[in-house]
Amino acid sequence: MIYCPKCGTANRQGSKFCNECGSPLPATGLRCPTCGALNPVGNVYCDRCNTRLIPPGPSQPPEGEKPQRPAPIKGISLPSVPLEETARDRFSELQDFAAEAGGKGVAEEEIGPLELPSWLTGVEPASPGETIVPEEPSPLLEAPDWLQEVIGPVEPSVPGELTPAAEVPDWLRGLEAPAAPIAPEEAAPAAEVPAAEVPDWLRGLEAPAAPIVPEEAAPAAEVPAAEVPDWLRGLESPAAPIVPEEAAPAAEVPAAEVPDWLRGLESPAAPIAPEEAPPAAEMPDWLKELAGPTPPEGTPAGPPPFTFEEPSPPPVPSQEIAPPLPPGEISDWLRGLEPVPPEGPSERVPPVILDVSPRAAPVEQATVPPLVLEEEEEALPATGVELPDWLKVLEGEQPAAPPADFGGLVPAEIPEWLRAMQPREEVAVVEEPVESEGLLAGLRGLLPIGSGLDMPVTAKPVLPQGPSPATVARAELLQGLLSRPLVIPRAVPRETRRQSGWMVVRLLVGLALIAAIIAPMVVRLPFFGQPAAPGADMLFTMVGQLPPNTPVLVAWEYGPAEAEEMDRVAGPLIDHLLRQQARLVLVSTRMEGPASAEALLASRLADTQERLQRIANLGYVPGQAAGVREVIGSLDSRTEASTGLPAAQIEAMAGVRSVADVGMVVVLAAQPDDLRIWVEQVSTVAPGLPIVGALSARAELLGAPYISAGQIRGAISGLVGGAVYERQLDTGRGREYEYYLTSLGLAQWATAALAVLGALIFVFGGRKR
Amino acid sequence: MTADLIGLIVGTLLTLMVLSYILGDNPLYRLALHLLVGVTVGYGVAVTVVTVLQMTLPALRGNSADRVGVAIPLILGILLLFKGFPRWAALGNFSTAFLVGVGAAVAIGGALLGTILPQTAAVGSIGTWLQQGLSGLVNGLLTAFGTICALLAFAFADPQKAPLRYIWKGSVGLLGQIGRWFLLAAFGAAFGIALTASLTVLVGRIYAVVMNIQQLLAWWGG
Repeated sequence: MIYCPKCGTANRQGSKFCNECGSPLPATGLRCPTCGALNPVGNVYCDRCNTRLIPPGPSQPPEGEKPQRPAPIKGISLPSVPLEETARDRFSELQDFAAEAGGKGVAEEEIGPLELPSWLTGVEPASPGETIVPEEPSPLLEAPDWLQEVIGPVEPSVPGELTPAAEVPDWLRGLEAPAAPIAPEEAAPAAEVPAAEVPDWLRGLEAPAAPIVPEEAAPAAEVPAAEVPDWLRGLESPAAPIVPEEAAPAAEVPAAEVPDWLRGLESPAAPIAPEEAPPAAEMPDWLKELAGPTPPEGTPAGPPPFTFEEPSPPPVPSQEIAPPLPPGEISDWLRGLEPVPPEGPSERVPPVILDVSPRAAPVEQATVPPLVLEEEEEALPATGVELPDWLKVLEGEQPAAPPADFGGLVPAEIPEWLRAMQPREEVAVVEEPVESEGLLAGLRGLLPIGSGLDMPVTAKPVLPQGPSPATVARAELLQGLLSRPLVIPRAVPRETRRQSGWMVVRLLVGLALIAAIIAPMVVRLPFFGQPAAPGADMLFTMVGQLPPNTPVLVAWEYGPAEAEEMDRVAGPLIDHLLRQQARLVLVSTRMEGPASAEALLASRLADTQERLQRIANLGYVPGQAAGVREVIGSLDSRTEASTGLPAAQIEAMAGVRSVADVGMVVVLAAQPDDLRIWVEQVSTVAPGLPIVGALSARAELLGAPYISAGQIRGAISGLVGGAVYERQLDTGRGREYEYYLTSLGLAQWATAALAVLGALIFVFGGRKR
Repeated sequence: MTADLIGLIVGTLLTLMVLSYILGDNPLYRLALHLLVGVTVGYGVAVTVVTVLQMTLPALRGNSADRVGVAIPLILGILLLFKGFPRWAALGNFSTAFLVGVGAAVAIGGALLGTILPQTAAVGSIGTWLQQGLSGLVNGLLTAFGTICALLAFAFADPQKAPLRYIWKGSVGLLGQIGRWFLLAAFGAAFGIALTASLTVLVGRIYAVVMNIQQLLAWWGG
């Protein structure tokens, strides 16, 4: 489980964001120093590049080393990062250890304050009954001020413990100036560092091959469990060592002065030679006590003493404890930490303090420690009882981590002030926008923020100071155009000539046609023979066979516009019907139809009484086909147009109720559609009823199929048809028809001649003429 | 001066004003044109009022059957007037639907029974052609052939595969080209008939003007 650092909610392993509050959760894993890949905890080699992630096992400690009781360094611990599952257990174990150590006072009695380095002495709170007598003035006067502040009030110390300023190691100089970049060339070559300078207790730390013995099986007689702090036991565990994610760069500390196993932590690629293992005799006693039990001889190099995956029970310190080393065998850097031998120059940096590096120091890729734990958010609960007051102030408030079962491992503790100095990567957490509307409300980072939204609120558009010269020029041009007086362009003379020419042409054409039309009126021109109309004879026969007083339905479908032609076509037929004593029932689907009928009939039948007996004008029937369908079904329901009387009261309508009661249907159509409508509706209602027609020349084309099919029994069309029918009927209007036919013929010839002339002009004269 | 004489003078002047279009567009022609349009509209309104309303509305005073027979068309006609007001135009949809529905039904029925079926039967009856002699037979064959060719003239799609494509081009394509000539002849005949009709009207108008002038001269001479 991963606990949210913000709200404390437990989340599943592997979660990246808190299920409760959405805050990013710290990831846990081992980052490869070579390729940067994040490997699961427990991997020894990188999944991507096969780089070793965990340093190889330390060399065996020399025989004869007496296990030293670890010094109760309070307020500081070796760098380690606990797992979140075991943090709670570690916390409780640390509390137990602190209570145990403080109650018995064994550590303080055996080690004494003089065995501690001065700065650690300052860190450690003095026991109530114990008085630390300073032997010499503290050399910290030469130390930087910031370090004095870290250490706290300077305790009076022995002058011999004075450390000259020149002996301040580089890593402490790095502490002095945290912001100063550390040049990589400051790192000393590894070959220059003698392995013997590594203290034994550190060797004990690096001895992973120590057999893990359950706590119950450990010989408590030789090494009392209370003397070994639990957290150091955790450090001795053969599991993978826990190293903070970002340790100090290797360039700050000469690698040669670092123990091999720690060197392995810094540079996993570097092989660790067993012969470089430092002799245990060089370790001071107080450090041996710190180092804890030494693993037995012959323990093979195994995995690192710490592991995250499988928490093992806290290891019992080995029965063979390395004897205390003489001060002369202590490495130089440890001498600086040792309070007794003041002359030892502390030029070496203990690997334990590697983490105490400037936080802001740049970390190069080559200096990244090989084992990086991706868990910075989880902090081990600090044992506040062991911290001095000034460290408590520095420590600040920590989120209460839940105690976890660590399987007996002693949780290591990193003081807050020390952790604060760890260099860490500044991970910029970009707060992604949260949707506030719609179905996706509450989700983050769904839509990219537009560039316009990224503009600062305070941004103001920068207005141009003034119009550009080009704008001014355009404005002046527009102003000049607008201020120019309006000049109406005159007609092009060439166009005038063309228009006048066209007018002359049109006038000549018109005069030619008029001359062709008027000439037969002046002079009788026998240019055309007798006209022929095949359907006229059949129509004349049919009308002639009508019995007297036969009702005939006449569809009067033309108006004044077509009267010049249709009167000459329909006139002879109407005359024939009147001659046959037929009763005419007039209907029209055109508004002007009844008026045209009245005008023609007025010239044929002047007697009003006879007109009422022979003619019934039912007037205009709206509705086109529907109107025709309606009127032919109920002729007697309409009103006579000329008298305003009901059709049933008109004598001409006697016995006529519908189209079935009439003896013939005569269609006088000037438009093709009118003929079609009447033929269709009458053929549908009364299929056997004879239909005849007097058609215009325009309607002749449509009427021809009906005539051929027998739907129209007989028809005449155009002036020719009317003239033929007039000649057969012989009403005395033959001269008029002769004139019409001659004039029409001449006009047609004139039109054809003009068309040919125009075509010749176009062909030989060109299009422009 | 009688009304007939006034009619002769006005008719003659209006005819000459219309014929002045030979010289191009001019105010006299426009005046005659506007008069024609105005008189036509006025005459239509008068015919509608007299023929439809005056002859139909008195039926409302008749028996119930007559009232129903007049009231329903009257209501539909009133609803149709709402088409002029966009807010209430939906009320006229009933009348429009009735008109369109009835008109379509009547037109389709008439076209089917009065034109399509009889014409189809007439084209297929060779006996009808033979009754008219050789000319009838030639006319019938020419009509049938021309009809088929004219229909194939609108066959714009053709197969893409090589053998069928060549066969199609040689048969349907050729007949389609012939059909286009039939269409060309039909359109030319239609144009000639329209021209003849116009010349007929012109002949009648000139004849009327000449007759009117003769009458006016006779009246003027006393």
